Amino acid sequence: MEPVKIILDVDTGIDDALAILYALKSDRLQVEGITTGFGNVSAEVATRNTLAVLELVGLADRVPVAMGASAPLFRPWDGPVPWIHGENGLGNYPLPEPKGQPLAEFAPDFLIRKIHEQPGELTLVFVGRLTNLAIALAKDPSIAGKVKKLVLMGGALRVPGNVTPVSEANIWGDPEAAHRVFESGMPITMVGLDVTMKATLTRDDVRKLKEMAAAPEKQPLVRFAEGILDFYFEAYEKHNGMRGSFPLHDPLAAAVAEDASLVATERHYIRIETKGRLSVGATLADMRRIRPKETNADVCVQVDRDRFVARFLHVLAR
Amino acid sequence: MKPIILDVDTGVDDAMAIAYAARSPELKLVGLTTLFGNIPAAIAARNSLLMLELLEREDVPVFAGAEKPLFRPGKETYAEMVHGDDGLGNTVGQTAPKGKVADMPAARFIADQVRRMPGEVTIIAVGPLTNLATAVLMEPEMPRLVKEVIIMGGAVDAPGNVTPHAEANIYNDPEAAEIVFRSGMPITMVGLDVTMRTLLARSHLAKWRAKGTRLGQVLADAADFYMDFYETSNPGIGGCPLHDPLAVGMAIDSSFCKTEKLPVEVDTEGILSTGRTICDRRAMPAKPPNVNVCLEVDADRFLAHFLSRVG
Repeated sequence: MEPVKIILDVDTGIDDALAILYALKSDRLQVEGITTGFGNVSAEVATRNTLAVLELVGLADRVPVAMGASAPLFRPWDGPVPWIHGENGLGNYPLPEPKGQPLAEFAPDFLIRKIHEQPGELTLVFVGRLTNLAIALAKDPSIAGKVKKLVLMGGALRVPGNVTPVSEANIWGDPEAAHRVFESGMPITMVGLDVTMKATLTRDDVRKLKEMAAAPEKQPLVRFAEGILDFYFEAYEKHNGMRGSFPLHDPLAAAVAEDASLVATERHYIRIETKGRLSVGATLADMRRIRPKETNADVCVQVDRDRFVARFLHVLAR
Repeated sequence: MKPIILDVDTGVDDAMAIAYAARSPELKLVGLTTLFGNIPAAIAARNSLLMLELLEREDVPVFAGAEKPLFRPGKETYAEMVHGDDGLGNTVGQTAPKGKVADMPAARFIADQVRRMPGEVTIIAVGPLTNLATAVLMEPEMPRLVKEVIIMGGAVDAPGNVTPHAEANIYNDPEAAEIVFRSGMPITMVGLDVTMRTLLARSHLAKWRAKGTRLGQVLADAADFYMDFYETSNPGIGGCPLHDPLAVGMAIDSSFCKTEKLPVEVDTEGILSTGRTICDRRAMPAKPPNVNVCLEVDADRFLAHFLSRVG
């Protein structure tokens, strides 16, 4: 099976780091580049963390990193969320300062170039705000028809939001960008809270990972994973009321990009609410009995949690 | 007997709710208050008077209320395709009622009654919440004075009806709804999550017609019209939902619905979300609960009860 060629867009972030590790280590994915942006942390910190994670697994030479947007299209950025991701964005785990540098190229330009180099070949996996993609689409709308598809972590269809009662953080964090992307005509798979909240990792799974990756050369990665996961368990217990488990939001998007059979989807026309104190960032679909004929997204509504987590542990322990 | 004020925009299902309330010995119908909504305010008042006449309950006073939302322009179009040009499925045409509306605005009546009977009055509001919000503004002690407010409106998990996300009564005056939801009054919300599951089937209408009364005839023909609309908007639904009657049902027997106390707010600003009832269902909600939300309904038991009173 040919690996799926992806560009990963991240705001690294604990679960972003896990998604990066998963994508790099998976034999079914080929990472053509990583773009970064503001979100969980600033664009600078996201870039630094991304480079540091690449160096941890010795892949800094093979995977280019391009830094992108530092704020939403039309709004100020609210700042980082240290209570979820730690002061350094990696659960305060002390990774060495990276030696490498990002490309000089702006992330949206990198996206446009790579998409034109391999038309119809690239799957975009976005696990942060959609700002970089919205900028790329504004610069070159033709890319919408030239990507294989976009798999995004974001939104919520039938379940509550996380940052507000109805909004998920990645969409809420730049609703206008999300609107531009959803209206672009690009094939979209939405990996939202409907499935990511069910794709939970437990402390038991972390123990399993340590057993599976017992070889000495794997210990730097295992220690890192354990360190950031410990922080995440506590953050989710404190702020989301989840005890002893947390959702693998971003890794699930990477896994869906390589194996869509992990999820069940429904076709919907997703519209993004861009106005209103209570509703901004909501991903809305007309679920009345007479459905709109036009659709713009495959929305994930069910996930095979056990198969996904088994795959996640297997890939990380490789 | 529980004193109630029924606030209506009469409407086919409002007419059924009036009949249900008027024929239920548990309830003492203190008055009907009326307003715009399904139909213009004048037609709502007229239809309410006509229904009381058909029910031989002219003892119940009718108070006319809001003609438009609190802060928005009046509606330019009404739901004629749902409720008919006359609001009663084209069963009464231009018929003038014998009675007249009382010489007092609806909101004033609501405020006065709760003041007169502290802790006793239940308000059942099945139209836009404009009259009730106005009463709250008139009488700041409403939260302490009212026994309970039961509204038909909103949707938590279910889709909207007038828009993909908004239910018509809330959408018709979102600011009024927000005033009511924020007021601190004890509110039970009977929304589309439950009302869409209470279906009156066409087969029930024959019994109403067989009564040979004008009331039975009007209710059956109006429901027939209403069912035609529902068949178009919700193909295969097989009847019409008993939106407004269920709110009355909850005043008679609150065990018809399973409820949960949840934080609910109303969107008044969104492009796609105006009129949506935003309910915080997260594990750790940001605000304390303010509304008793109906999430499940024992539809068969409710329908049997409704038909035993109205049939």
